[in-house]
Amino acid sequence: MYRVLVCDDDEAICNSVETFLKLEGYETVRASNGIEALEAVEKNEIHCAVIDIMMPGMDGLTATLKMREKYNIPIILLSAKSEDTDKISGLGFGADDYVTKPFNPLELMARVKSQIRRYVSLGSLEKNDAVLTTGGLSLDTETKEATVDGEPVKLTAREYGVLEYLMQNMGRVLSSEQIYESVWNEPSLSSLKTVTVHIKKIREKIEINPKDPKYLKVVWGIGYKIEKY
Amino acid sequence: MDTKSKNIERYPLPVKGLCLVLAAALLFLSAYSALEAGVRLFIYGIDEVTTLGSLSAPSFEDTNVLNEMFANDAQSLVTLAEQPDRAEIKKQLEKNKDSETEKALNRYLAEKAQVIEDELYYVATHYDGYEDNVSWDIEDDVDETVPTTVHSADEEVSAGATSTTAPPEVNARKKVAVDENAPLTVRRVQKILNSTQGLEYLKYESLVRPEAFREKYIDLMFDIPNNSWSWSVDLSMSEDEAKKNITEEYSEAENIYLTDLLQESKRCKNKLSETVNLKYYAADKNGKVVISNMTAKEAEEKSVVGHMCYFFDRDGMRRTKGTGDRFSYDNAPSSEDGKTTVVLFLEDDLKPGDDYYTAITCYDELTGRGINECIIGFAVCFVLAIVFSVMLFCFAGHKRGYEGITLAFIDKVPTDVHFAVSVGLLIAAAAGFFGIMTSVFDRYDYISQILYLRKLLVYALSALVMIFGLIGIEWLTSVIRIKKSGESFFKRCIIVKLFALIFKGIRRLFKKLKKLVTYKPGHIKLRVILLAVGYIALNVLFFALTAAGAGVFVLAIILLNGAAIFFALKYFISLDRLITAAKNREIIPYDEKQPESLRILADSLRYNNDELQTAVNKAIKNERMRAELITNVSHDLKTPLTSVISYVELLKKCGITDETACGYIDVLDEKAVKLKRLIDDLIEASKVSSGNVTLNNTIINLGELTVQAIGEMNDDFEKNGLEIISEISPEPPMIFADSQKTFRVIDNLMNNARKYSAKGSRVYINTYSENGYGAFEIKNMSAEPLNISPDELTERFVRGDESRTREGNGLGLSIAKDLCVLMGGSLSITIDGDLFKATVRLPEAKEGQQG
Repeated sequence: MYRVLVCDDDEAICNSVETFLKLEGYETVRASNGIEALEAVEKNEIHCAVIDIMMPGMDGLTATLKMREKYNIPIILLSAKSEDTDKISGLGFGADDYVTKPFNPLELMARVKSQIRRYVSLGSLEKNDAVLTTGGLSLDTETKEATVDGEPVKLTAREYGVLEYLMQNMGRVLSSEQIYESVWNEPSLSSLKTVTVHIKKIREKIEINPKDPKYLKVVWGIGYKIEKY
Repeated sequence: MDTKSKNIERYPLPVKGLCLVLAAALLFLSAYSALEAGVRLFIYGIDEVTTLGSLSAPSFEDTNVLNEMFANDAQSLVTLAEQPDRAEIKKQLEKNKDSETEKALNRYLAEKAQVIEDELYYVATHYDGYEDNVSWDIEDDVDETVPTTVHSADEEVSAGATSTTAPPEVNARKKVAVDENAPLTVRRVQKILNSTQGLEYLKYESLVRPEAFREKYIDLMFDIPNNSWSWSVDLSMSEDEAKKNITEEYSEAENIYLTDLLQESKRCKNKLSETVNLKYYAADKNGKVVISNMTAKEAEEKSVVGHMCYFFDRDGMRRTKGTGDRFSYDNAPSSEDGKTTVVLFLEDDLKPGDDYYTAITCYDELTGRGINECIIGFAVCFVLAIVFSVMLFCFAGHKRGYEGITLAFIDKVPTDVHFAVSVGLLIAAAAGFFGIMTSVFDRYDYISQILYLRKLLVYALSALVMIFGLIGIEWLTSVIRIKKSGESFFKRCIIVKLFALIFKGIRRLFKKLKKLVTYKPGHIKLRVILLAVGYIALNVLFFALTAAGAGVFVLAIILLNGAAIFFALKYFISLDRLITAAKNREIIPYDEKQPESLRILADSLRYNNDELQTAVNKAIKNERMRAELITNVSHDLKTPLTSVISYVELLKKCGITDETACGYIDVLDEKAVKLKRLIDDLIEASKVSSGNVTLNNTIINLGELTVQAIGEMNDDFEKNGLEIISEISPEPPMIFADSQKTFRVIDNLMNNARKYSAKGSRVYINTYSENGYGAFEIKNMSAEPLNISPDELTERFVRGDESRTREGNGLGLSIAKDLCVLMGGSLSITIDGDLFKATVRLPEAKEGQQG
């Protein structure tokens, strides 16, 4: 039984999120501000925390910062702000994931699940040079298998090739042309659209919300990259 | 006016040139005639012309020139006739030699004695501080004895001396009293002075310093027949030396005098021998013929017959015979005694070879054309010259092929400057002419000038007059051209302009002064004005007092002006500080000691500054509030919406089986999602339109971006039954923009196309470079008619479908446009029937921009 901390000053949201978590089979602990959240983490064994940023008393970012002093439990931030800078600062404060309001509760559940799975099971994974890993995404270049948070993902040969090329150059932005020439092993000509279609498909398979990807990111006008975590 | 000008235009340019040439030639001729007339008048003598009452030529014998030539030759003859015999003169000189030298020597010695006496007298009377160290050459015993003996001799000598040479003042001099207290030498001198007179002093020559003699010069002279000889010597010579000198001088004087006589007679003889036509006769007082080319008898006869002859009688008075009585010769030399006779006349037929012949030839030439003709010629030529000049003036300004008056280049020069230059040219021409003429004329005597250079002079002068005339005509035509063109002749004058300028300046100055005087002070109080007036008055007063002689007031002036300068400086420094502070938007300093006017200024500045500060603060606060408002509103809107979405989702899981209820839930779900997007867009639009966006500009490949976007959305288009046809230029445009925002723009446009395109139609997308911009162009066929202007489409909440039934909220294009503008680009939309075309232009990346 995993225990999830839900922290939001809005009671309705707390209730709905708790309901969904319970439906998924998690125990929940509720807090209405940062201070209560910290107390809850002290008192209970928490496996994942969902914390709203804008709260009276202690806000979510401060709470995350304080929590990170002692614990390495996964933290998912909820925010009404959707700017990139807000996400970056949230993640910089030590959060593991970021969901903007209004969110789809099912997406939130998926992210919670993913975080818990990684937190619980992947911590003990052996290090292997043949395995490329970022966050919950890992790619075994020997067995040609990809897993997200331990769950295997089925990829076609081309999709695997694209993902592998991107993972090998983790953090680097690669243009469609580079990807095509490297994976298809022939000059790109005007078939760049093929790359974008593949990328979209990969994203649909490995991302929880393909419109707001966590691993395979689009750098508009430049290319694609795998985010390094 | 019109017909007249046309008539005149018919005269071609050559007519103008012809007129000018004719005018010049006629001017030359008229000047020539006038000068010829003048020369005749000069040669005949003006009296002749006027007394004769007619302008017919007088006879040659009556002309001035002949008279002049005759007079010169007569003078030579007279000189020869009166010259004394040289041998006789020499004898006379030898005879006088002894007495003349004796006289000169005596004078020399007397002067010398006088000098000695003067020197000794000086010693005797000015002995104060005299040191008794003069060596005394005369022996002591002489001191007592000599004066007595000399004294006795003195009487004899002085009798002779006084009668001949002794100067009167020596006699007049008082004897010097012997001063027993004086030094011994002085006493002795005093004694000498008391006992000596006249030439006796020569004895004491050795007592006197030699410089005294050298410093004194005297003039000595001899009397020589008809003359005297003088020269200058100093007194340092001894008696023998002086005698020798005098004798030498006398021989020299004798010599020179005799030589001069010889040369003079030679010169006269030479001059006479040059003549061919002159008959002459000269006899001295004894009746002896000195020079002649005829006999005495012949001379007598000729004179009686009426030839032009001149006789000089013993009185030296002139007596004339024949026609020569017009000759006025006033400088006839007089002879002392006896009678000299001079006769001269011209032969009837003149032979060539001398000045008389030349003169008569010249005369004949002159009389050939009479003075009347000359005057008539002058009048005719002059009138014609004026006529042609007037014609020129009429033509002035008319140019073939041009209507109206054409001004020449020279007319642009101010008229008075033009005049000054013309006059300068005239003066230069005249000066040059006279310079050349004098240098030529100086080489000839008067007669020759008249005879040989007359023609040259007349031609040159005529040419000069012609040049004068041409320069005058040139200036006048210019003036006339200006007049004709209707411009004011005076306004062109630089002097007039200058005066106008000065007048204008003065008027401006008066205006300014008036402004100053009539200015009503605002904050500068009456006190300040009184102070200024008082300052000036005090200055005037102090200056007046100083000028009146009260020197102390210079100090007052310095103090007053020093104080004034000090206070003025202080005021201006304060003012400057205020200005600097105001300019730099600093805090205006408080200064209690400031003058009132400055304090008012400082207060108002401070007030303005405060107001500005308040306004700025307010604006900043407003901006911050706005940003906060957007954040808060989005939070406040999104939080309940989150709950709505969540609970709709929970409702679905409640296992509701009622179909109607399920339908309601689906509506709720759909509308919640739509509300969510609306809120997102609204917030975005608000941020973008207020510029509340941070841009992370980088170099992006617009082609890549388009491919990426198409890849992302291809599926959605296909779902709507649309086909994307893209054309990416092979060299894709590299733009400098925020990649996220650019995608947002393109995403909005593509969504727009997806939503509003007619089913089954094609959407065309191209990218290309154009004028430094990277362009993204999307074209689609609208499903419904677009009864709306492109400008309206980009306004907020305006949608192509007026029924607003389709998805979309009318914010997409507005956001896209605002974003484009924020990134330095543009979004333009054109509508052609159902064809909708949107073009995004974003600035291309330049070198040096960061990737």
